[in-house]
Amino acid sequence: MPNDVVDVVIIGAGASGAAVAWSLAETRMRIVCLEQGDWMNPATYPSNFQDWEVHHGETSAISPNHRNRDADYPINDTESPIAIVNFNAVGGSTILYSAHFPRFHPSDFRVRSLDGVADDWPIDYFTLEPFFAENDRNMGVSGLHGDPAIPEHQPPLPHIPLGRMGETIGRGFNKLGWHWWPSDSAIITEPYEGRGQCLNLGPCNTGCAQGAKSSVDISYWPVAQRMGVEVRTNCRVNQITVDSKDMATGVEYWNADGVIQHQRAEVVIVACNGVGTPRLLLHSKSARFPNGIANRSGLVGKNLMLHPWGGASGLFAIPLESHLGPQGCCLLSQEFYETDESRGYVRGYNLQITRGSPPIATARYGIASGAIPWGTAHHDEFEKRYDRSVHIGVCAEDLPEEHNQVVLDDVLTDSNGIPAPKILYQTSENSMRMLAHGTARAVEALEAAGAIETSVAPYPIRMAGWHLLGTARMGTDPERSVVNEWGRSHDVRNLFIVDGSVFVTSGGVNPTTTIQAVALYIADAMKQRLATLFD
Amino acid sequence: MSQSIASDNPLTNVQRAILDIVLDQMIPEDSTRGKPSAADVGVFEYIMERSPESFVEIGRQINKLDALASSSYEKRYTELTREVQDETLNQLREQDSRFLLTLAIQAVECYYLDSRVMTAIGLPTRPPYPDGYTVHRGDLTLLDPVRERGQIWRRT
Ligand SMILES: Cc1cc2nc3c(=O)[nH]c(=O)nc-3n(C[C@H](O)[C@H](O)[C@H](O)COP(=O)(O)OP(=O)(O)OC[C@H]3O[C@@H](n4cnc5c(N)ncnc54)[C@H](O)[C@@H]3O)c2cc1C
Ligand code: SF4
Repeated sequence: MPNDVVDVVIIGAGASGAAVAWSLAETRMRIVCLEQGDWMNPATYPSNFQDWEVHHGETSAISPNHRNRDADYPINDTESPIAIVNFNAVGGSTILYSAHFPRFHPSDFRVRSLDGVADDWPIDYFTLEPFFAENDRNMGVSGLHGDPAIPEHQPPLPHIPLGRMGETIGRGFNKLGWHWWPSDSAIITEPYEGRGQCLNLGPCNTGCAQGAKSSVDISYWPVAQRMGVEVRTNCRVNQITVDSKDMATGVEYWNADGVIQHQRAEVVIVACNGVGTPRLLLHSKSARFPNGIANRSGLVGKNLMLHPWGGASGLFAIPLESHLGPQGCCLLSQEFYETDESRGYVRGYNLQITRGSPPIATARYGIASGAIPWGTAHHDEFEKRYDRSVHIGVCAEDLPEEHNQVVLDDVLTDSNGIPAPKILYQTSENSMRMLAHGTARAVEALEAAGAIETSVAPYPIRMAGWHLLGTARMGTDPERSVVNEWGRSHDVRNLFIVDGSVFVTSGGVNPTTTIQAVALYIADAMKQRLATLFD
Repeated sequence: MSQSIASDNPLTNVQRAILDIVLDQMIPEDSTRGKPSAADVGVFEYIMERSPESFVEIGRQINKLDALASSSYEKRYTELTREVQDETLNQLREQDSRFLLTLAIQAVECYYLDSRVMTAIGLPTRPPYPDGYTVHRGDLTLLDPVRERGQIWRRT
């Protein structure tokens, strides 16, 4: 019977929901995951088609507002310079992610002690270390051992190919004496756990037809299902319900037939991401929680961190085969990851060297910007640009600020009438300075590598709100945080949050490996305390 | 003259003729590279299939070209020499940098999907999946200086 009481209900089947489900599955508890989207069919992904660059399919837009699938909910991001991008399906945003997989650094958990800003986390890198390793194995992560910018670890699979492009850029970084390294990537470079290796198709951001990119629908979920976890798709949760003793009783949701149901549960775990989670908590109002469940601190939705993004592109005199290989994964540089006050800002950023543009993107951008003319000169100019471009992204650490937040929109709703999240966000002066520094260093690196022409995109780049963090922060003080140091709500003792909402700071790298390590750590903490979980 | 987007033929014969000339002006044939003219890759059909509504704007802009040809030279655009066609087109593009830009964007999309063009730029004429591509793994000795510098992560 679907609505009997279950031990655990997990809301959201993305990166963190999958990891927590897998970890808890060994307890043999009855676990149900409710996901508003469906399973994806990789045969529909654009790389199956010759017109993949212009193929209009379910995965061709990264903004839910443009995509507008049944599983999507609208997001009002008109009051933010950065638009929110995501995906809603089994696999969550990992369906579209680039799978660039660097870990947070030990210093990221200690920013108050080290640099006097934001707050320290109640946990540290070394607490998470075994969970990073476990996650690398479960996801299938490629990389090169020995990166001196991060504590020693051994990715289970060999690094992704650098290509001529990677070598060229690496030489540039060497000229400057700057750190660089092949990126850890959640992409399998050899056959692994029944999955085929990466074929260098390129368009990882529209879904991987080969199944080489480790999205959680093909890494964690099949294993968790075999271990007994039930995934209920096309089920959108409306509210978490609560009793008079401040214990969650379960969740109210619309099933695939659009019928409202109540799933009773002993434990509720929220894994809807840094925007979806505060939205659900704020919407779960009751007499006990008039401002939203688990929100006695008033901090649910606040301290939203988005990693303001910048970027520079370089054009080289020789072909680099730069459009081949996993689009978002090649190299990184962590030369400027740590605070140096002489730079005029605190904390730092990661440089993410990504592949060049494929033919249509090259021509389209060239025509729109005027760089590629009309007429006979078209051919020469196209040739100069195609296969010779390299991009460097700047991922700036975003510091928590309470005025940056997710609230409920007064008017906009999803197809079930749930209020849409509204983003109130301003890029801080510190982030803008960091992006100015980072884009200038990106240009310097491209020039050192031999670029004959460089350009910097206006920043923060709008369509780059892909890292959603901080909106239900972790801490030991119930007045200053939403969950405790192992992910349990301070206010509701059987309610847990396991996604990037619990992050205290944002680090300066793509967050998903750290989100999943935190989710595995929380699951482990729960398993260790099963007998006293609600004390 | 109907400009209805529901029509099977959203452009008149004259507009179609001007469209072909403009496409050839945008990307002319390059026989040394083996690249055809953009007038020869099926741009009309491409737009018909994907966004026929764009023809309303494209038709309007083509009419502007024809009108300028009439007012300046008392001829239809199709009757001008290529040199004068280029001058006429440039005149409108200088006045408005977005003139015929929607057409140009769709034209390059269609153009770089043509098998002759893909071959000319060194791409196999097939979807990326399932055959994929080979990418050089890279020379890891380039990392020697990075290794030699030793640990750079900040101790806590
Ligand atoms: C284009 C793009 C590129 C990216 N590239 C990278 C990268 O290279 N590296 C990196 O580290 N990160 C990257 N990310 C970010 C990464 O995808 C996320 O950090 C990660 O997926 C977050 O995991 P999560 O579990 O918190 O949420 P998600 O993976 O977003 O999953 C949340 C799930 O919850 C479901 N849900 C939400 N509300 C409800 C509800 N009310 N009822 C039922 N279900 C609900 C959603 O449908 C969704 O499936 C990228 C993201 C995008 C969009
Ligand atoms: S490059 Fe590799 S990971 Fe990316 S889509 Fe292609 S096969 Fe998948």
